[in-house]
Parts: sequence; structure tokens; C-alpha cells
Amino acid sequence: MAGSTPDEAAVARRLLQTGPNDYAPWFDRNACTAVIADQGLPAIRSEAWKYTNVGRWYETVLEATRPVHRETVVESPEEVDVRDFSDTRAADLFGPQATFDLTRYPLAAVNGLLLGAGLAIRVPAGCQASQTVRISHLPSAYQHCLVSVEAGAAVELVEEPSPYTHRIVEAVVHEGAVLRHRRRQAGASTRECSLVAVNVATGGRYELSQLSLGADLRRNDILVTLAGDGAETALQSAWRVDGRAHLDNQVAVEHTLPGGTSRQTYRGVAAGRARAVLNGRIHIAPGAQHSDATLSTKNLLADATAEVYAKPELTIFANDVKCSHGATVGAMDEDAVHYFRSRGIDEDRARGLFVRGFLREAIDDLAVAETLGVVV
Amino acid sequence: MPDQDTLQDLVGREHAATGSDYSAGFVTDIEADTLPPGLDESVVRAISTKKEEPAWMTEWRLDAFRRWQEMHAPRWAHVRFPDIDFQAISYFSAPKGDAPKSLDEVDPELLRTYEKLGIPLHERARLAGVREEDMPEVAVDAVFDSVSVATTFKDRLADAGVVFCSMSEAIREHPELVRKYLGSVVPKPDNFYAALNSAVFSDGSFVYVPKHTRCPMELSTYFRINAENTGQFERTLIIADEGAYVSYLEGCTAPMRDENQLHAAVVELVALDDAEIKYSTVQNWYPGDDEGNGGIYNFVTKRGACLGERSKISWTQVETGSAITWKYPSVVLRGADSVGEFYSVALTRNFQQADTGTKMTHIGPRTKSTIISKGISAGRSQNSYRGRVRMNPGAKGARNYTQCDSLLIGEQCGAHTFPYIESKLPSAMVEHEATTSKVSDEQLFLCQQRGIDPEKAVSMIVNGFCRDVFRTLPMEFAVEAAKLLEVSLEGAVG
Repeated sequence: MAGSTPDEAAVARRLLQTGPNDYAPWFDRNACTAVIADQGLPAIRSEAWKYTNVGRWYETVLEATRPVHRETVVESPEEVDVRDFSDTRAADLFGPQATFDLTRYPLAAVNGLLLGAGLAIRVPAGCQASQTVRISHLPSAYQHCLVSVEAGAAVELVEEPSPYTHRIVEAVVHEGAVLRHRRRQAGASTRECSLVAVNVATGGRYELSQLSLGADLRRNDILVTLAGDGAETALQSAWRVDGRAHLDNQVAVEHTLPGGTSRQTYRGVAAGRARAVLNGRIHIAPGAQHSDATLSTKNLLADATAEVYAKPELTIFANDVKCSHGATVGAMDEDAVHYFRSRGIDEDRARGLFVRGFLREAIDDLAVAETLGVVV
Repeated sequence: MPDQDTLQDLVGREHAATGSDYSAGFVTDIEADTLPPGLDESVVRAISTKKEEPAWMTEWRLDAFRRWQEMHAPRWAHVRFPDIDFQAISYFSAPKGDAPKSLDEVDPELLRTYEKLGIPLHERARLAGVREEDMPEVAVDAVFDSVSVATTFKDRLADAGVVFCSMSEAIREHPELVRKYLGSVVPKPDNFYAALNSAVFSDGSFVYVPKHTRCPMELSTYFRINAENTGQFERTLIIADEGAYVSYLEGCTAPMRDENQLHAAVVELVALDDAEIKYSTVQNWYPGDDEGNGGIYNFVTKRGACLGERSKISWTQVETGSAITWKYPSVVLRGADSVGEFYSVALTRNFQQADTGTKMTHIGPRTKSTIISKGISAGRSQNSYRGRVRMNPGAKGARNYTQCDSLLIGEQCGAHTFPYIESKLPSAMVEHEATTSKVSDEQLFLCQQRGIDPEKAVSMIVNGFCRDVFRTLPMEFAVEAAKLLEVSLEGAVG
């Protein structure tokens, strides 16, 4: 309830009073301070937080103890340069400024002030990484991963389930480079917000595959900017929320230069008293002609107490483009279930198979989805 | 040719003396009784007094005014404009003189205005018509600035038991209906502009169609803002009793002025068991000049309540005017098996901004809604569809289908889609689709090959794009809506 949660002004005041911590001093916190001081934090029930009570996340921010791992657990192949932010050379790999507009994502400014774990990951030009870079655990509730995939390089990045209060994954995909990003989000009783902000240059490609179970509160902000001719992105996400879980995906794909292509596919199941939110925006900037963008979101409501909120948006400022989106919300097809049953498959299994087939359209690794429990 | 109020006449297609393509942009020089600009409780009381309203109505307005004072103008729409100074607006302007007892007493200057616009207020003219039997009859309520000046065919309608009169008259003559339904669909504090309207609304139309009655003719209201520095705040209430049917058409124009004028109307529709209301709007308020100066701010709240079982409310709108449009004709589907429809064509050009769409709130079981929206942006305009489909827990087996398509003409315009889908029960089905396209070079080439000039070709393509909506308009208006689009598209190509 909004009344019992701390208001945004109180949280902002507290953060500004305490000031940034002393981890990785090269990392610029002035912009974070400025954003919180100038525009404040998002208000409860503001348009961007219409369906998610940000006040409950503020509560977590103000709590003293949060479940985090003590150590960094990351795997990576030799040819990929991975450094902790405490290594000052991390500063040489990236500028101190964010590559995204911090004013749009004020929670990232909170992350900046409280930052306790940072990783800088560089895939050198032309390098086809032989193994996956796998992030298992980072030793702070406020985490930041910077990823640079240099020209012509390719890498797979996996985020394993791990608790945090706020995580930023900020990536630059340079000319002709490829970043395959796999996010796995297990069910959790924690309140977690994250931001993925990716810039894709000419001929670059960014793929996101996200599998989620809900959390007490989980919010994923995802921003992909296609800033070059022939830049591409394919985003897919499948989720299953149950119990009292809450999952809010806020995705923006922005075509800022001509010739970009984007594909977004979302499939979700909401059961129990869970709530699933998807806001998927396709934005075509003025002059971004010949952009080609699609979005499809389909949602199954498994119980009368679950809720689904879907808002696929288009903001188009160029005329020679192809853009479309589609959204559906509904129940399981009882005819399909009947068909299974008439072939001797029991009801539970029939429904399980139906859900599996439905979610499959947004899952590229079924084994992982099974392990996580997104499909059963 | 006999007088007929086709849409062509409504919008008057001949170019005005100024050379602008907004031909309804003339000013009528008529003596008006206008309140000085400003808004406080005394102004609200003054409006109520001028309209000789009963005490309950005055209190109703004052309550709305007090609530409005605590509200803030909404900022979520995808439109930009400077803050409105609500103290600089005059809230009441009426053509001078006592209320006319019959059409013969109506100021001839006023009648000429309507004639210029092609709105026949003389029933005689129609009755003397040569091919009367060929023409659909339309009863007209004409609202000039703040007051209703004339309502035609009242006797014929009265024979059928249909009440069609100005809101002021309804407050006097049918207080029980007004008290029961006014504010029942759009409550006073519903939103900032609805609250303002509730406080200061000056006139508008009232319709009551009794049980099991099919209204014998189309009803129409024609709104005209004339005076300078005034706002128009009309209020329309339509009630279709059990098994009744009514089709209603609304048109509007305003003079060309450099300033922005505010139009904040509220329309409430109530459909009881098995009733059907079809509400069609052709919105042609002055859109401002080519540079984006002037034009009407059209901030309107329109909502229908399908209270009865199997009732139906259908909104059709053709939006070509206004500098800024903020308008979401909605349906609350409360009765079991009730149906809501929204068909919209919104065309913006030059510097126009439109943020329009609908809200379908499904409450009753097996309720159905259909949304078809066609947005056309040209010039430097911004055209947004904003809609919300909500399936409440009781709406078992409800269905919604939404399709919104955008067409962009030129490189500097914008087309946007913001659909909100909110579902709280599994057995409800919601489907939404949206596309964005342009008039393709191939299509233009094909037409030109066949000797059709580019402007005509674009007009044909746009017409095809809007077909799904035009076919829901009463036939004679559909033809003219297409012509209105054609006129609006002139100069938008190339």
C-alpha cells in the first residue's frame, strides 16, 4: 500500500545526505546526484510506475541488510578482458559517463550512488569469444556491468539468477559485432529492479533472451538503441508468474538512424494472484527511414485472480518505415486441451503441454527454461 | 435543389474570401451578451441565473467548480501547448435578445450564419422540397456560442414521444430525467476538463427516446463558436430507454482567429436494456493556420454507459479539425451481452496535434467491444491513438478486438500508438493489432500510370484506408466525410 511505503522525496533526501560510497572513485556519480537532486525519484503511481508500486522498492533501498553474495563469481574465456571497477584500468576501457540518458532512468542514479560491485567486460575487436561470459554472483546489492563488444567481435553473456536490489547491464555493440545476452531470473522473495541499456552500431546485432519467474517485485527496464545502418536486435522473453509474484517488463527499442531492424517476441503466463506487466515501445526517430520493427506479445491468464497489463506502444517520426505490433490476452484454448485429453493425456499434463508450446515461441533454450521452472 | 444538411454543407467547401481552405472560418457580426473573462463562484452563479436554473442545478455546478479548483490539468497526453489561463476566458456568450419563441423570431443574421454553413433551420424549406421523399430527414439543434438557438422538427419528434431539446430546456421541462442521469456517466470530478464543464456548461442537447421507440429521424446538433475570447462548454445527454434506437450526428465549426479557443464538452450516453445509440461526430473546428497559429483546443469527455442487457453504443468519429484534440469516446459495458464500438478516422496536418482513442471497460458478462482506429498524419502534425481495454473480474466470456492503423504522409509528421490492455480474468479475450505505413511510391506510380494525378491518388488511397470507418457512418455523411478528407488533404502531398 502506498501509504505505508516511504515516499520518493524521503528516499531522495536520504540518498543525497549520505552521498556516494567510496567504491571505484573514477566512476562518475555527479550525474547521479544531479538527477536525484534536480528531478527527484519516480513518484508512486506515476505513469512509468502505473502498475508497479515503486514505494515497495524504496522500502528495500532503505533497509540496512539485503541478501547478497560476498564474492564475485564470474567465468570468462581468456581472450575477454574482465576487470572489477576497483581496478582503475577499468576506467580506461570506458568513459566515466553513462551511454544512456540517466534522466529517463532515475533508479539507475540510485544504483550509481550506492554502487558496490562493478565489472568492465571488453571483447577485443575481431575476437570470437570461445566461451560464454557467465555472471553468477556479484558482492553488492547495487551492481553495474559494462560490456564493450568491439568491431567484428562476438560474445555470449549469461546472467545467472542471483539476488540484487538494482543491477545495470550497459553494453556497446560496435560495428559488425554481436552480443548474445541470456538473462535468467528465478523466482525470488526479493524486490529487484534492473536496467539493460544497449547501443548497437552499424551492422551490429544484439540478441536478448530473457527467462523470468516473478519476484515479490521485479522490474526490468530494457533500452536498445539501434544507432547505425543495418543495426539489428532480436528480443525475446518468456515468463511464468505464480503465487503473489510481480513482474514488470518495460522495453524500449529506439531506431535513431535509418535501416535498423528489430524483432520483439514476448510470451507470458500469469497464474495464482500474480501480476505481469509488459510495456513494449517501438520508437522511430525523425529521419530513421527504412526502419523495420515488429513486436508481438501474447499472454495467458491461468487463474481468475491473476492480472495482465500489456501496452505495446509505437512512436513513429519517419514515414518510410514498416512497424507493427500485436497483443493478445486470454485463456488457454479449451479445445486444444480437449484434443490432448481425447488422446489419453491427463488434464494436468495437457495443460502443461499447452503452456509449454505457447511459451516455446519465446524460448530458445528449453533445457534452461525447464531448470528454471519457466516451463514445467 | 432543396435544402439539405449534408456534411458537405456543414463544412462548406467553397474557399473563404481569405483564400484559406477552412471555409467555415468567417465571423458573424452579431450582438452578443457576453460575461467578462474570468472564473469564480460568482461567474458560475451568473451562468446559472442567466439560464434561470433551479437551485439544485446551481448547487450542482458550484460543487463541480469547487472540485475543479482542487484538480490539475492532465499532462499525460502526447501533445504540447502552453498553459491555459482559465481567467482569460469568457465563460458565457449568447446572441443578444430574449429567447426566440419560434424560428421566425430568430435573429436574421444568425439564420444567415447557419444558411452559410448549410444548416437549414427552417422546417418549411424542407417540407416544400421537391424530392422530399428521397431525402433523409434530420432534426437539428443549433448551438451558437453558449446557447441553443433553435431545434427543428420538435413536433414530429414529440409525436413519437422523443424529447429533443436544448439542455437548458430539459433542466426546466424534464428535471427528473436530468437529475437522474446528468453526471451519472461522467461524474463531476471525472477529470479536470469534465469538472470545468460541469461548473460552467452553457447549453447543449438533450435527447430522451422512450421505451420501444425507434427515433423516426436522425438527430443532429451543430455547434458554432463565434465570439472572441470565449470558450465553449456544451453538455449533451442522450438516454435511450428499453428497446429504443437513436442515431445522432454532431458537427462543429469556428471562425479563424489567431488566438487559441477552448472547447471542453461533455457527452453522456445512457443505453438501457436492448437500447442502441449510434453517435457520429464530424469534428471540423478551426485547426489553426499553416504556421500553427490559432485553432481550437478540443478537450472533450465523451462516454456512454451500456447499463442494460444487450444494449449497444457505437461511436463513430471523423476528426479533421482543432489545433489540439484530447478526446476518448468510451463505453462502460455494464449490462450482460452489451456491445461497444469505436470507429475513428483522425487526420492531422500542418501543426495539428491529436491524442484520441477510446476506453472500453468490460464489467458485464459476454460483453463485446470493437475498436477500429485510422490515423493519418501529414505536414508537421502529431497523431496519437490512445486506448484502454479493461476486463474487470465480472466480464466472463468478454471479447475485444482492436485494430489501429497509421498512415504517414511526409517526413516530418509523427504517428503514435498507446494501447493499454488490462485483463483480470482468463475467460476474457483481448486482441490488439497495430500497423504503420505510408502511401507507397508503387501505389502512387500505379495510379499515375492510369492518368490519376498524385493528389487524387493519395485521396483515393486514404479513402480506402478509412473505408472500415466510413461504412459505419450514416450513408449521406459517409460520402461527405470522404470529401472532407479530400479537402483536408489538399496541399498535403508533395
